[in-house]
Amino acid sequence: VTCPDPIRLVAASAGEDVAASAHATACPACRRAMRDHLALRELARALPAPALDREHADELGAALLARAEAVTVDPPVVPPPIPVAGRPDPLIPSMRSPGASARRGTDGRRHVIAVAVATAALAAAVAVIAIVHPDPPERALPVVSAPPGDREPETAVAYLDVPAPAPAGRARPAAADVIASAGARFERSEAGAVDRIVLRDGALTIDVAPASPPIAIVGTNVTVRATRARLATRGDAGVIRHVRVLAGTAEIEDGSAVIAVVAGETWTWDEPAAVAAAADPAAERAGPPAGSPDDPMAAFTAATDARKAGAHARAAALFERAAADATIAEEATFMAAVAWDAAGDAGRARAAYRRFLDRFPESRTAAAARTALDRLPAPAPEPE
Amino acid sequence: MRTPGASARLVPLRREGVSVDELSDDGLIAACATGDRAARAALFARHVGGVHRFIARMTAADADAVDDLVQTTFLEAFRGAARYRGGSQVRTWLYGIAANLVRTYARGEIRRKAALAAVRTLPVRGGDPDAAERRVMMDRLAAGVARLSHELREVFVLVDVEEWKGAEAAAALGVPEGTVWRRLHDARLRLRAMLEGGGAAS
Repeated sequence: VTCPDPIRLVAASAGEDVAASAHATACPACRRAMRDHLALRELARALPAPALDREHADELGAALLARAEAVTVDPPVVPPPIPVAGRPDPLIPSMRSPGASARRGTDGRRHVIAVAVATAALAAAVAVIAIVHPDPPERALPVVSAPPGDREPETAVAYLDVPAPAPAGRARPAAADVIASAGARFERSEAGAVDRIVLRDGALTIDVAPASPPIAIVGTNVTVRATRARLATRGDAGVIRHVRVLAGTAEIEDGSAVIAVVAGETWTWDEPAAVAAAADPAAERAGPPAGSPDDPMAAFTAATDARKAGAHARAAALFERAAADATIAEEATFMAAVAWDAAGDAGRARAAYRRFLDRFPESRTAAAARTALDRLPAPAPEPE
Repeated sequence: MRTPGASARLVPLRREGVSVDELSDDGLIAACATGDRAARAALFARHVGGVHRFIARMTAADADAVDDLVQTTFLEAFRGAARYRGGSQVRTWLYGIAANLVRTYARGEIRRKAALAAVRTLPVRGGDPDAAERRVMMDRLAAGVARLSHELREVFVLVDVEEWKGAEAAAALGVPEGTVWRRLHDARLRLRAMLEGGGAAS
């Protein structure tokens, strides 16, 4: 049996190399080395932590914020243009060693051929699209509708447009990320420098990165504009019902006035229910009126308040109700699990975390959910 | 709240007062990029404990220098908030900024190495002999950590003291994960030599 590299035993002592750990249990020499590693690690963990008392932290924070007033936020970094194949960018120094040109022979030619084939295929695709849609005034896209499924996870929408060639010397910024709920219907197009979405039905979560072009979400009632922001919105029969701003700021305009909604706030289209029903008989089927106890957005707000007040079980129940709204389902499902956990109800917490991981396995909080799930005690065995 | 001149169709506007404390780290960074003061305060409150502890352990400097490095870390984060693209955790990003600042600070403090090496050993009086021996070992370890090179010290502090995953430390320090384990191996070799009194950390 060959002993692993000593460096792997270091990783094993931190619990990150299972194979080396297994070897060390059987090999006396490696077991001794592991014991030394673990002893040192234990001593390191016991080193006293430098103290930062609350009062000092507050003073430090106050001084920092005063200094921060003078800080100018750097502009976002625009990625450099991709050099054209065969014409290396003179600003990028060559990383090849002097002898590399002799070695790259066949591989280099294969690479050039592959790039040429890919370029030709892309050019052909662009040409076909140009023939089918000769010179459109505005590159309209078909209505995108995610197919309904058994589950209703939010579905990533692939961009259907072919990127226009970037102006010489300038990179084309990436468009905003749009996540649509199952069954959502909207049209996306470019209008000048603005990314335009006409929202018909369903929920969208939109992340407008700093380098992305501004976005305009158009409903029959209002237009929502955002630059460098993350927001969730829901439409119903062409009417934008909710806009929840998660980061940055959004502007909501109805043609005569503009209102700014900042991170953490929710704007709700509060059309009187009777008027809405008269104008659109389908409105009653769309869900409870905003602000009512059954309204998911209202439930989310109430859940947040309950959690702050320490009423974790009530908060969990409200978060579960709020999860009915696809725009906040991810956050609400996770928070429901956290609240059940805080309430000490391990069974419901476990079920909620599993439900969250089933629906949103790629969520940014998925890792935290898995950790919490591992930490929860195993369910009691069924009595025989 | 109604904007002057707003039409009746936009009213009532229901503003639900969710504080910045409810935002995720990524949300806070996005708000910081717009110069939001409340978001800056919340980001600081959320991470100052860890950043302060890391810097204090890395520098063994006086309290004023640690405070200044902590503030500079957050000022750099506020300044660069628009460049944060969410590729790593915010905590990793902040520690990466702190590690760079500490590295620069350490270069300026190179002449004070001798002072760092003179970390005193606490006197041990009576009590449990095992506990007394452990205290001596911990004092030697603290002195040894201060005498490690910057590269070795930062991985030892992050992985062994702060108990970060190797991949997370690698992301914060901008090095491959294998480099983290190799540096940690070297750091432990030197520290073990220090603890056994058989050699000096370089």
